[in-house]
Amino acid sequence: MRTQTVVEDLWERLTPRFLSRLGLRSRFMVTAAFAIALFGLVNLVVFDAVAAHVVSHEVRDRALTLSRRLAVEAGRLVLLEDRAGLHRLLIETRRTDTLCDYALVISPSGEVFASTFENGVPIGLAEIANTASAGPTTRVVADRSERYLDVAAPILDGELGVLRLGARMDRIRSGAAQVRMVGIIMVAAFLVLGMVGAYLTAHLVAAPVERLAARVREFDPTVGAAEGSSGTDSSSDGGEVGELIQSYEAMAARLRQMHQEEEAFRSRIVRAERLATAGALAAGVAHDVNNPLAGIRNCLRAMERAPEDIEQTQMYTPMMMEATHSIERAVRGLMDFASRSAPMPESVNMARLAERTALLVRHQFRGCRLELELESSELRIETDPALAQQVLVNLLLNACDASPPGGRVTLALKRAELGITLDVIDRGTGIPADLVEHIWEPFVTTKQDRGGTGLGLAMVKSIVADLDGEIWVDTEQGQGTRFRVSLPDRGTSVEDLKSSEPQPIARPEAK
Amino acid sequence: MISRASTRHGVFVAALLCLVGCGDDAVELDFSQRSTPPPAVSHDDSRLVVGVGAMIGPVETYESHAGLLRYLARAVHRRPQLVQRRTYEEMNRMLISGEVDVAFICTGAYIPIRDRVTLLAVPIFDGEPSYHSILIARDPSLRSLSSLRGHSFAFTDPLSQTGRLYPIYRLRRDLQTMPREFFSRTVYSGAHDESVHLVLDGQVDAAAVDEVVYRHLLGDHPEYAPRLHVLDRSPAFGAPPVVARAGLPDDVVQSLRAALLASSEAPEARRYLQDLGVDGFAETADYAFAIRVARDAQIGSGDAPEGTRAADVRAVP
Repeated sequence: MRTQTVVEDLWERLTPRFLSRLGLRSRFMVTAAFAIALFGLVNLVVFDAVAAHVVSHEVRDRALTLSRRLAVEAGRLVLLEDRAGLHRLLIETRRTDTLCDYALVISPSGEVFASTFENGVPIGLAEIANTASAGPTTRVVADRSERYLDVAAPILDGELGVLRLGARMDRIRSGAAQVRMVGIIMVAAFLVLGMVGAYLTAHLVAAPVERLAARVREFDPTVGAAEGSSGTDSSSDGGEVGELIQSYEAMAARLRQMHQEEEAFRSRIVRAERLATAGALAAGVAHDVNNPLAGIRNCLRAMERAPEDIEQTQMYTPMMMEATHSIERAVRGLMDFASRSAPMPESVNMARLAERTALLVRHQFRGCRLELELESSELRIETDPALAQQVLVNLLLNACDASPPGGRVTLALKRAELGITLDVIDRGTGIPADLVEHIWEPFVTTKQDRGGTGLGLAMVKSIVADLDGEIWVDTEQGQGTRFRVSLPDRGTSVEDLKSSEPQPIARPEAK
Repeated sequence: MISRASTRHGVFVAALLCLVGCGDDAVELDFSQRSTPPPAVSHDDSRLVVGVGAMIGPVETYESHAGLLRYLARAVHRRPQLVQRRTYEEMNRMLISGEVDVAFICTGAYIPIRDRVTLLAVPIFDGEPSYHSILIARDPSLRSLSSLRGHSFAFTDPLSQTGRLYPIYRLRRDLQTMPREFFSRTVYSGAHDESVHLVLDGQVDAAAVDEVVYRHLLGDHPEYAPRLHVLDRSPAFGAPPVVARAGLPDDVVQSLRAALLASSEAPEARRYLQDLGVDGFAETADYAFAIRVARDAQIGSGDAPEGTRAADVRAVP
């Protein structure tokens, strides 16, 4: 474990910073290219040195062999004192053997018998090695920039003198250069092959990881497992990556399950909260039912007292009809509110909905004044009316609860670029700063003593999200609170919504 | 202070440099500055110029004669100088012109100039100052001189007693024919050992060579023996003599002759005699048969040589 940490630490230090910014595939390729290039370079240097060594030895060996052979032939000609033959031998050798750049035969006394030089032998050249030795000896002779490997081969053990042979050393260099070129081509080929190999290896390693990354990126807990896997077969990946994919699949399944459970829980909460609100509203609705009922009862009593009074009956009947309509409206309003299903968008005039909601909650506004500020009487958008109304009801009841006795609560609706915005403003004490961040969480309430469930704002946020809208809060201690809801016209595309930046809302003016 | 790492690095670089072969001490010269070669030293009295006829190759000649030459030069207090030529004719010319003081020449070369040179001594082979000519061949079906009709043949030198004159003498005497008519082709090898090699290599079918050289060669190369056979052997000739040019001072001639005759007894010369394959030296030998053979052969052959040089044969694959 400790060693592993040290290795990881070392790797961290050695890896260039930019490498960590690259993708897995690129990182692999860069590392492979670097390794191959480094390996190639080392190879090239060693190869070059060895090639130069081998070529120089090869040239040396060839020069030695040639000089030995020439010395034997020269020996015969020296013994026959055939200077012309000797000269011919040397000239022919230089002409036919590329290794021979000059040659001369020197007697034991230092006399030059014959040479390939036309106008005399270079001064000092004959004197370098005219003494006999057991076998051929070599040395380097430099003439300005030109260097020669000079071989001295004794003729008949040196008794007849020495044969000297000069081979230009740039032949060694050019030979080594040829070998070096082969080396460079080989390294280049290795680099290309290596890169192809690295690419394939990187593909083998990175592809499953990239597939996994894509799966993680596209993971949607709302989409089922069979759909979510989008046809990729995790069983095709073995080893660590396969294990990783399996772990991820298990985790994704757990996440999906948790999401489903949360969804179910949330819908139960929403329903519970709605029913709670409906209960609270029911008390107010009772007024709207009782008053017409009282009117109907009075009418019926009068009709009971004078059943023959047709005129009276004809006058009361429409009044009773109107009263039953009032009751029906009140009850339907409550029922509409209480019935909750999945969002079913339809064309809704939000101005009318605001008015109806104001009627629904007016009995709950004990000591508060509700002011409606409608930009227009026709603010139509595509949305779910029941859910939108629930948002309004909750925000209005909250606002009223937060307001001081006799306080004003303002419900303002106006058209926005892609839908409408509605503001619910109270002039209450505001939300404590330490609570603002937590108001959207379930079971956070300041109204425990007044029967608050702590689910209202959590549900509001959830519904607004369902309606593709957004909600902000702006509050100041002692000044009041403004909730701003932006509801899109669902007839416009979601992409348009996303691009429209929410505008910061103005601080509610304290009055 | 040099760190350990950099020292190691230095060692590595030095090793690489050594591999490349740097660090040679080059001799700096200027090839544009030329020296004219000194004139060849002319003959002077401080040297004993000894010529050797091309009975064998020049290197083999040098190796076999160098010791004895030094021995002779010491005897007359001179520095030895060995001279060789490709043909007996050239060596004879040098003897006559006085370019060489002493020469080891073939019997065949000696006969024509025997009145113009001084006989110093004659080598003794197998106890006698004489030697033989032999005919050799590779093909076992060639059993006699007459069986060589229509075959190719190698002579050594136009003046060679054993290598040319004797076989021509035999052709004339026994078969009344001439080499040009008898052989399909003839060549001059230039030396007896070369003739043996021509037969061994299949360049020619048969050759006439000096028996002493032949035995010497087989002694050095026993592997040749099974591939060759001798199909004819001549009577004895006077052995190839050592002669001095006319005009060589008498005391020098006497000293040289004395040294040669005493060589078999002189411990320092015995090894040199072994190199030559010679037992010692006699004062003279019987050249009567050789003179007859040379005369008869020369009459028959005319002036024009019958063959081509061996070098020409070898050049053609």
